Amino acid sequence: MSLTHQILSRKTGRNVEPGEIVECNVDFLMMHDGSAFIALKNFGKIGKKVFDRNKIMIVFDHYCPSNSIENSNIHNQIRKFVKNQGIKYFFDCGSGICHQVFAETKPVKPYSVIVGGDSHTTTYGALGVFAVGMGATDITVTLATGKTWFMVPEAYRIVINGRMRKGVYAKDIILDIIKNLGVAGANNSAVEFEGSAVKKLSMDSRLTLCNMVTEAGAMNSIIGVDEKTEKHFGMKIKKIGSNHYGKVFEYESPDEPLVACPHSVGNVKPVREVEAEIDQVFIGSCTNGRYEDMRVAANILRNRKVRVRTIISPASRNIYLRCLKDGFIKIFMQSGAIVLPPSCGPCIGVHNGVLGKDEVCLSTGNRNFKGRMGSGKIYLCSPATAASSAVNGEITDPRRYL
Amino acid sequence: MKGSAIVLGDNISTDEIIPGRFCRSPNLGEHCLEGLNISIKKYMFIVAGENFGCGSSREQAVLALKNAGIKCIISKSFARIFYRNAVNNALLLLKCENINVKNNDVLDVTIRTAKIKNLSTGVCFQAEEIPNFAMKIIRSGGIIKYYKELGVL
Repeated sequence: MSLTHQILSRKTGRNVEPGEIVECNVDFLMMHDGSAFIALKNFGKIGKKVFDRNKIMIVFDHYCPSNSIENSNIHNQIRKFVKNQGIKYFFDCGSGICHQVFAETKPVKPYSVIVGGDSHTTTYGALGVFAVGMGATDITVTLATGKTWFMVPEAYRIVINGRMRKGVYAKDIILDIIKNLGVAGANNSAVEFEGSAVKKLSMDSRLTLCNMVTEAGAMNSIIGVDEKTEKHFGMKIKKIGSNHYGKVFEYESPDEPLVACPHSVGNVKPVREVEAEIDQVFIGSCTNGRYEDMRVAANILRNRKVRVRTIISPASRNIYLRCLKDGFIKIFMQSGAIVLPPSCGPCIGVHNGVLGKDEVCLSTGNRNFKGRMGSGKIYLCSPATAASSAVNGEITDPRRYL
Repeated sequence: MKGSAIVLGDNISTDEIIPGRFCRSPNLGEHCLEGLNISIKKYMFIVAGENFGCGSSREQAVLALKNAGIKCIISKSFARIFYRNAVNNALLLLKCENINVKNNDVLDVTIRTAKIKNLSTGVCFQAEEIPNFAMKIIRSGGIIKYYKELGVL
């Protein structure tokens, strides 16, 4: 069985088959201030205790620091809920983006079942867990019962081989996969990443890879436990094999850096073929705001000036502190960039970088749908391409600066 | 149910249905599909292509559509999270492969049989029937009400 099917079978006590609907106990629940808003409104109507206060994480990241009186009031309602229910894992504004905070906090071990009130919950697959994104009402049900239902996905094995070429990063790999599969090509599937290129990816890069698999419609993604997973958790973990997939796809790591053009994540082209002037560059988000991403950006921005408005936001306080210690924040500031505390703000077009009419943004985020970041157009790329383009004032192949 | 339909394309995302900056608005319907600069106020049905509701898990997408007066969405396929959110909030979704409708055509939709008649052209279409477990939730008015009726919540 595939890794996902083994996890679901163990959890439900029987061998699950793709397409069947199973009810399942959940090991952990994650939500942020965006999804908690509706979930807690619903939960108030039920008037119960949460299923297990030690298995819930709430992170403030969508409206941080608050951009309106209304959102401040909602934050206060959620803080009250956290206190009344004794929620163990609560992270207030400035702690980080929920998915990065989860990866750093490690509240569960590999092979666990997690539901998250956010579509990018697939990120945790890099940690060897089964993690599924859901809407706020589904989250409400789990909050009260500790259970949810799944339609058992079909397993897709995606093998990525080959060496990582100059200027190519995990972001380029996942953009290439979405281009090949299509934006609905993995709909309702459980993607299992394998292959020599995946083996070599750092945990930061694996989180990027698993984060964006939702943009091909996948229900979850997973990477089998290896020495990098063990290093992340700081312990020995039993490795389990896997087989029997509905579909197998084999790809080579892309030859060159890529960019997703407006207004679809599947509209992917080599950077060298895209000519576009830009008004704003954004480096951050749950996709590419990790330490490794900041280091790549800093290495390009060192002793250079940005020619367009450039917003950089490390994805967690922990990453921000490491960037400070290693001098990256100074490099960013000296380059002329704006450094923000961790938040989802720019990527979801809520605040701190909302685009005006006809403005063009090159972003390391995960979505370029019309209206996502405000008005205008969004191109998606790796932090290296973003930093290089910031220096050059137009979309630029990062190999020029590497 | 009889009413007029607006036709949209493939991969309509939740960012387009309700942009993030309006997710806290008390009048979600006012901003529904503002990302595409479309007003859907006078329509009862949306007819769309593949992968309707892709992207963010924001439940406000379903709430905005309902608030704007949409009663049923007919699409070739739906994104996974959007589908669950719609069922959980009792918004009707019909999967229909070969539907042929133009903007402002008037449809007569029978949910029980999943039959769609385009009253403007006289042509009928057969959609997939809504699965039983989803229909039970929708009939109760959403999953919270359904689970309350069952005594689960």
